[in-house]
Amino acid sequence: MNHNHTRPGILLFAVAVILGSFATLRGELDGSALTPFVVVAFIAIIVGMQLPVSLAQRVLTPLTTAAALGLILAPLNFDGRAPGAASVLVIVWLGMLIGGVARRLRGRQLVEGSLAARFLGMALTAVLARDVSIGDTTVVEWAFADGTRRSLAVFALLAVAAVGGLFEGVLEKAVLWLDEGGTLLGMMTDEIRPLAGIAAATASAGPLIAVAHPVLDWVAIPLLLLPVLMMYLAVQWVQDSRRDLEESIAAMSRLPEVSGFSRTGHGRRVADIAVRIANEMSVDPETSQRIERTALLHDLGHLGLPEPLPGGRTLNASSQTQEQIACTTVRIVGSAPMFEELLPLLDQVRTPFRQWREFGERIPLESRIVRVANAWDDITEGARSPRARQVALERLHLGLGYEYDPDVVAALEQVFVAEGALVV
Amino acid sequence: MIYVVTVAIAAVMALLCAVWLHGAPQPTSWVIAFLVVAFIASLGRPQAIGPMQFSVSAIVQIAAIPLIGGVGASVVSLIPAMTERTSAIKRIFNSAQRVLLVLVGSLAYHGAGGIALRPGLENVDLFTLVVAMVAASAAAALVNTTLLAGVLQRDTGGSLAFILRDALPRVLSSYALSFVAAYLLVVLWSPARLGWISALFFLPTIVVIQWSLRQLADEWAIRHEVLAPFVTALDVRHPGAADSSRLAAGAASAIAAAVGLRPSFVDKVVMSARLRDVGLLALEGRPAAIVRRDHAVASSKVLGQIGFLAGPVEYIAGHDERVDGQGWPEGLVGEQIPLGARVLAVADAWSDAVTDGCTAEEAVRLCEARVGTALDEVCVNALRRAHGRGQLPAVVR
Repeated sequence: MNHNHTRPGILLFAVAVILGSFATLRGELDGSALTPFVVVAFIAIIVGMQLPVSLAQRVLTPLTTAAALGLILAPLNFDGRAPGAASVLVIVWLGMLIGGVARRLRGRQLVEGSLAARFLGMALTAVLARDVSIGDTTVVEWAFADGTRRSLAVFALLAVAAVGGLFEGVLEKAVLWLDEGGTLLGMMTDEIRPLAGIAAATASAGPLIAVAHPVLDWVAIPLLLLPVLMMYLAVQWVQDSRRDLEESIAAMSRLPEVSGFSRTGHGRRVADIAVRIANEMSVDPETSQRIERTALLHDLGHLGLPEPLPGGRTLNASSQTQEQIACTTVRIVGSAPMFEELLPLLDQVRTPFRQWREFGERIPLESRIVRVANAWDDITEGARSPRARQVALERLHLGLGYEYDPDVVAALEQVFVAEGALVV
Repeated sequence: MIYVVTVAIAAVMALLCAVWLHGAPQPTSWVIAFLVVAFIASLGRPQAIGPMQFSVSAIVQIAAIPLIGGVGASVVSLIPAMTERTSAIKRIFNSAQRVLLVLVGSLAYHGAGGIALRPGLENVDLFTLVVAMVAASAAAALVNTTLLAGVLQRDTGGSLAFILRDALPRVLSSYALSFVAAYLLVVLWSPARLGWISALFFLPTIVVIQWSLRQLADEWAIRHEVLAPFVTALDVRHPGAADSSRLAAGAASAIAAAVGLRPSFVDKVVMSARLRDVGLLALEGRPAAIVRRDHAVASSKVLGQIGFLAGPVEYIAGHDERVDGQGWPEGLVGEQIPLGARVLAVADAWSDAVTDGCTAEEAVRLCEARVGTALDEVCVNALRRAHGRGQLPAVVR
């Protein structure tokens, strides 16, 4: 997360502050507003701010949003009058501010742009539900009127909640766009579904809290927040799994070096170069992840050799030795079924490019990139001087089209030219 | 087979009795809605989280009891049988099991003062509803565990009491989760007057729960699966290491369970047993004496960066300690040694003896001879019990 305090985000936050202050001035609150339902919702809003979820470049606080929507859509009664949008938004705004400040005091991150987008989205929902009259009633008044079918009402409430939610999403994306021109780096498509799930669960929890309010009163809030909490935990589990996997793969990649079969840091360096080449060639994030993993694990097979190769370099090894290494790599990595898709990629790292040119053998892009990155690190041995790089590039050019894919080598050159580390 | 047929016949009889007493389930629109929800819920397969099984179908079954009665709930509980991809015998057993647990749950519900919720009912006492639904869930969990334990007992020949004691907490905790979700659904359905629309709104929740359980299951699976390459890498350098790792892990699992440790703790001990010799990789080419002395501590060089292995690495580092304080690296005495490391020491001693050609019984006796000097008495007694129950891993020669 490096998009925390951006100018557009701060700007949006300023808009939210102005609107929140306006609501505070306009809202008519007195002691009659302190019903148990309002107090519990207020607490849930504050607590929810401590439990953010970062997914697909968005920061959500599902518990805050669900509790606030419940409050916004519920048939409240302050002193015999139904409060307008401003009065309800005061409570939401103060809760979010207190929650945000509490989070900062605990030394955690707070993304202003996301907080602002969230509040503005809910403000839109509140105005649509409580202030805009259709005919002569507002949506909330109509939804809880005696003659209204409750099942129909809940759909109307969901619709206004969804409009606010979409507005929030658009605002948050706009902040990213204005800041970065909308890079989608690190955007994982497998995060879109959880995001949709969280958004759906959050948006439907709000109307359900509102509908259950006449029956359950304040108990509706903790009860109906449970599924949302479960969702929050699930996202944590997803992120834990990802971290476990990353750490394990990193430890695996160090096996050849801890046992003295390769140079220190070789796997990591090859992975870094390979990922930079991949970015230069603008591959999609999934392929990029496969490239990184293939690079990290490509040398595990060295463990099967009776003696370490000189300097751990595969570059000068016979094709027989390279085949043996690949075979052992596949055996080690393949013992975990989850890495199945990496096996053909690991096996092909040793294939020279001429197999493609002369025999039409399709070598996966991942393997071609890792092959070049590995050669690069074998030649430079991790040295970063312009001289070492120049020498390495010359070596790669000698094997161009024969050993190495010219497109990949060109991308590697571009990487260093772009960094100003190489003058061509 | 005979057991399954008996259970199936019991289920059919019970269902016929219920239909004869109560007639067809009412109201029809609710029953149809339930069938649809049950079908959607059954599309998500039950998730195994370690030894725990959880399925969202249980939520639908428990919620059906107050709303469409025992007979309706039985019919609803048969839905997953259509989407299951298991053998016929398993399907029959599962269906019969569900019908029985729903009917018993329904009896418990009415016994605890629960009333049948009908359309247009005003002022439902929510507290009584909680009590009655808890009773229904608990009864269903008990029936579920008992019938399942019966199957396991026939499969493994273990003691029924032990299997029950092992399975009941797991089943109860999964039913507790189902109860909360089911209660929510029932409250929205009847007292909050949403009717079958609440099922529609509840679907995202069901999908969410299903998805989150899958994440938990995945995390569990990843943590176990991702260790395999380390064992294989060790086996590449030291042929036979993989089999010895399997034996030690099986023994550690049985000992830890017999000591009465929590499942999460057992899990950590099993991981430590699988990886106990990985440190050898960091000592390639060192003199044998150094390798013997340092291999336990060296494991942190290999695994130190993996967060979730912090516990297992600590056990591995301490598994060469001796209870008399003559061990290595710290010379800790008795209880000072982490319990996980003491369990691992016994599992390690047993699997080493077996690998060296002892029978399982001889290896247990060898461990018993070292109680008080190298090995911890509680853990060795647990090894003896596990051996008595036939829970130690099989030795393949």
